[in-house]
Amino acid sequence: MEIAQIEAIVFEELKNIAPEMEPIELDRDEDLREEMDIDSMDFMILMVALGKRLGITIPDQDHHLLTSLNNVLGYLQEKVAQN
Amino acid sequence: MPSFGADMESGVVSEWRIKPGDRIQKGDIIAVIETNKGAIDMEAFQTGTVHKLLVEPGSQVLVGTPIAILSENKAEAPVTDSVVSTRPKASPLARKRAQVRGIDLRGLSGSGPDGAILAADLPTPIPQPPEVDATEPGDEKEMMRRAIATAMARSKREIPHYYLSTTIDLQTALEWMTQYNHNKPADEQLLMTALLHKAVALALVDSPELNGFYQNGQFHPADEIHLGMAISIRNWGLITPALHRVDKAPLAELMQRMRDLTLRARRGGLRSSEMTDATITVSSMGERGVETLFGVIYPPQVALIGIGCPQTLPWVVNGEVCPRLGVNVSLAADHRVSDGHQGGKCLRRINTLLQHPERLLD
Repeated sequence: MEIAQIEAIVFEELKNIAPEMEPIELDRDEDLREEMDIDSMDFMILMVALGKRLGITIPDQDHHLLTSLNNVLGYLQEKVAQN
Repeated sequence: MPSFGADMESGVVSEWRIKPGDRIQKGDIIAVIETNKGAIDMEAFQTGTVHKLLVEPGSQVLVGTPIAILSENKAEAPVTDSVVSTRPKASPLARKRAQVRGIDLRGLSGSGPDGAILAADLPTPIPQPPEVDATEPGDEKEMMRRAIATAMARSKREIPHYYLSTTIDLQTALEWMTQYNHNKPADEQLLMTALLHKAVALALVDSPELNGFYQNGQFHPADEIHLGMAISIRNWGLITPALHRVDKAPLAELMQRMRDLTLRARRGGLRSSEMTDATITVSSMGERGVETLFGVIYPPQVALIGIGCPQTLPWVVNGEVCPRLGVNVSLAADHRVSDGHQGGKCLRRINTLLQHPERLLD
């Protein structure tokens, strides 16, 4: 899967939990949870949705890797490639 | 047009999900109503057959105005153009005005010749609030702000609040939850907020004076425990849709419902019953908040539980200071209905339940 496709899916799911935000305007190297004011409930909703849409599992112990938008995209691309 | 809360004045029927002749059951979604709290799926209050729709999609309507006619009688035919013979006598002007305003002439009595309906017999037009284009985010934000302002000003004007707070050791609950979540997929895991909501609901079983409504100078305790879950809409405001019968909900199911409710609060798709029947509100700070939250009661409710941001605290266990996860839980309650003694009992009960997290499971 192309990185652009993964990005489109991530943006769609971010819009679901924060419809008032424009993911395109995010600073891609800043902490995503801080940038978007995401709490643990939103983060869980996001992880469940991304796991389902990309057909991967995102174990808890990897959550600390998912900080900035760039980190999230890099992580997901690697996971999808492993599948 | 039903009211989806004490602070709602009008709504826009943005979409009909029914047409004349449809049989509907109580609880079916019949329309989407755009309100100051976002788009709400309106449920039917009763079972019946749709007789007539009175307003066009896009119309803004004051609360209390009829928007459709349901008939309970199955045999009654829906209105169609062929039913000309039942056409009531009316002056052309009255007919035209009635059509423009969506008024059904058959319900009216006329003062003209042969009982014909004249323009003067039509009900007085209801003053329409200024047109609001609900698609502009700026206006939605404005509407939500106004809704919160109305409800909170009324609360502080009418309700003599008293406040209590206590700090609760969450370490045992955290360890139990970590064990529970171990090796489970993300969509089956629990968050601490689910344990906290369940503990609040179970504690309320023994504190009926905090769960219900104060109306017409009297307290009416509620039969069931529906927690209004405060969900923030980032930099806009918040809505508090209801989680139903939380005291009876198994923890795993409650977690699913909290996720679902959060998503629908953000994206739209809340149901009208969820907007109106919360019996108490629970407001959580979340991880990026501060340690204590003192709430303002949402009238006509009589209490609000505030949950601060959980943090690691120095705690004394068996004479030793050790780091434990703790959370501050507060109560704002209506002094007309309960006293500090009862309020304190409820907070202590929440504490006790959280020290035995396995009791929250079913």
